[in-house]
Amino acid sequence: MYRYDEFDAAFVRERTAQFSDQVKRRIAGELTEDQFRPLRLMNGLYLQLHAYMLRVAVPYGTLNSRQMHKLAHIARTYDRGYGHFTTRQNIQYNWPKLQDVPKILEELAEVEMHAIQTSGNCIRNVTTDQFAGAAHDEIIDPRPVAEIIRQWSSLHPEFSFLPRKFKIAITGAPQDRAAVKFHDIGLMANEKNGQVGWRIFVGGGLGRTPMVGKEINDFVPHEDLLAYLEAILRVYNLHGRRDNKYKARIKILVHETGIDQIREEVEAEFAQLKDGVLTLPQDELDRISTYFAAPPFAADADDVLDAEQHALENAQYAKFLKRNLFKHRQPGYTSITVSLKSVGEVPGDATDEQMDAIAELARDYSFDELRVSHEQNLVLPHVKKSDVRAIYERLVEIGLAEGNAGLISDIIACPGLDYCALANARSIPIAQDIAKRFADREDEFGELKVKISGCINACGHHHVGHIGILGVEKKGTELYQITVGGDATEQAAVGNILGRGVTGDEVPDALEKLLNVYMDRRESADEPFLDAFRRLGEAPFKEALYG
Amino acid sequence: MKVITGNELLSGAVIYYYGEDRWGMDLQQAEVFDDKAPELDAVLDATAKKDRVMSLEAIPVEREDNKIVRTNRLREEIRAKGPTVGNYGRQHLSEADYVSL
Repeated sequence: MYRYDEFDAAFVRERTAQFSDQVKRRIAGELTEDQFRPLRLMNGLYLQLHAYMLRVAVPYGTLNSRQMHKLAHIARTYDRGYGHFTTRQNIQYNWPKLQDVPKILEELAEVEMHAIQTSGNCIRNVTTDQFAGAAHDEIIDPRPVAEIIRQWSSLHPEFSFLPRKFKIAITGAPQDRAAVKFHDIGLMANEKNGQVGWRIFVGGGLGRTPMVGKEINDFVPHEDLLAYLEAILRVYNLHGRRDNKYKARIKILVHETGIDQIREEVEAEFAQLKDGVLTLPQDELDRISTYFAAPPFAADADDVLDAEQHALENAQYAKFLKRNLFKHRQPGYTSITVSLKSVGEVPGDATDEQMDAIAELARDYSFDELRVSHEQNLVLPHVKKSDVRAIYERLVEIGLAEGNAGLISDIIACPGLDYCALANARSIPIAQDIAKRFADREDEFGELKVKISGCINACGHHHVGHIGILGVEKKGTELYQITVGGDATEQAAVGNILGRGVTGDEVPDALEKLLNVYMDRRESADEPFLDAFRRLGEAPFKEALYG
Repeated sequence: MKVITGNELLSGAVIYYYGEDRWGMDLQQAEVFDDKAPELDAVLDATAKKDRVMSLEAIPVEREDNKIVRTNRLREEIRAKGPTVGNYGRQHLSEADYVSL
């Protein structure tokens, strides 16, 4: 795992001191709210419905146990004993007080963390595959490149006031688990002539105008990657619309200008930058890569995990084995998804005690490594198969042993109107109701991604849910639009809106109607919901919902 | 009819204007203004100048039997009562936070 060098430590320390002074001046009345707001946002501090909200960056979703213990400590000491893990692989605290935030940032700096670039019109925290460095299907571990992008983009002076926020996601595997085609820039590892480089997508995004990213280059070698990214950012910074917030993202620029012209301009800019100071030397990539070297796996680890045998003993454990393990590249090891979607709980929330317990599990069983997934779960990336039972039993004790990864109750949900100042409708109660309704049957449905947003900003990724739910407000009432057929993977698709919205109470019934169509008309139990939808089209689902 | 609301500077807590330069967290104690009362704008202006209340606004309410029975939006109901999920209640407004006002 990457450790701060003197530059990282210095800028985080300096920023913490600066913000501490700014908070003092705001409280003393020396800064107005209009002056203070952009400063606090640059440090991840929002004002939500009930209180401030502090968003802390988890670089490419990677944590060690010390950092997780610190996040637990902050939740306990300065907040209300819990934190909320987000689709940006970050953590948010919902109840900090203004005068405590400098102390929180000081505590975060002690464990090489901060809240910089978690808000504002800059390059945000880079996100990646939660199984990076562990996945069996990986072409390359994306974390060294993600770290290099973090260093390049942190406090980048030219890109601190972009037309709008800018998100980069990266995957080293052909199976895209990082939704790269729905980011401003998406990077996907690619092999060409025996060399590994990057396929680059640009102009993807969700929000009020969902777009699938378009390929701008099918192969950029490592050494040119930063120059190429800088070229894209320069073209965007120059031409991105600053006159209209709703048209300011790069997806609109790409859509309105056309990918061919954007490519032409980027290539021209890249020609100026290529072989310059942004060229990434192999020895620097190698140096960063040493931080992400594989842990000392046991060569003789037992590679057997008999889920069927366990099913005879404990159905819940068998379900956990079936759903929450992910194939590891190292024989005898597996990655475990720790679901933060226990039925009836708030998706993505973890208490301080749960965070401490998971940190201990990471220390004892996963080479001190943890991940946050964009699906709002945690991951123990490197676990010996022979240790899975012990981990499961501990997860049962802390209430996080739900074996539902990828099932209908593993719902992405934004905080919605219960917390968010932008939301129009609640998301969390809808997620809870759906999970409760279908928990007993969810295994029958197989993989089914339900995603809920409380407003059109789409923080809950509803556009790419196999079933997506968008909360809107109409005449003071919450209504929910249902979409079907979204897909965040490499086969990226935006879901189709089926028709008029339904009330919150009607959402579980509406989903049941959709699921009945699927169960009745799937070719076999092996045909997932999304495949069935693609084969059948939206008509039978629409008919079931609206007659 | 309207009441004046916003978020207090130090805690971010939802607060309401009680009248006579007093603020607190109880919607029921909020001073209710006629929609076009000049006092409404005067309080908003004076509060904005002090700059200790953020997201300051006057929200429509309905009153029955001297009780505020309805705000215009669910958003305001949730602001007044706290999240509808979890058992976290509302943000606390300490003595120091009152001093901030």
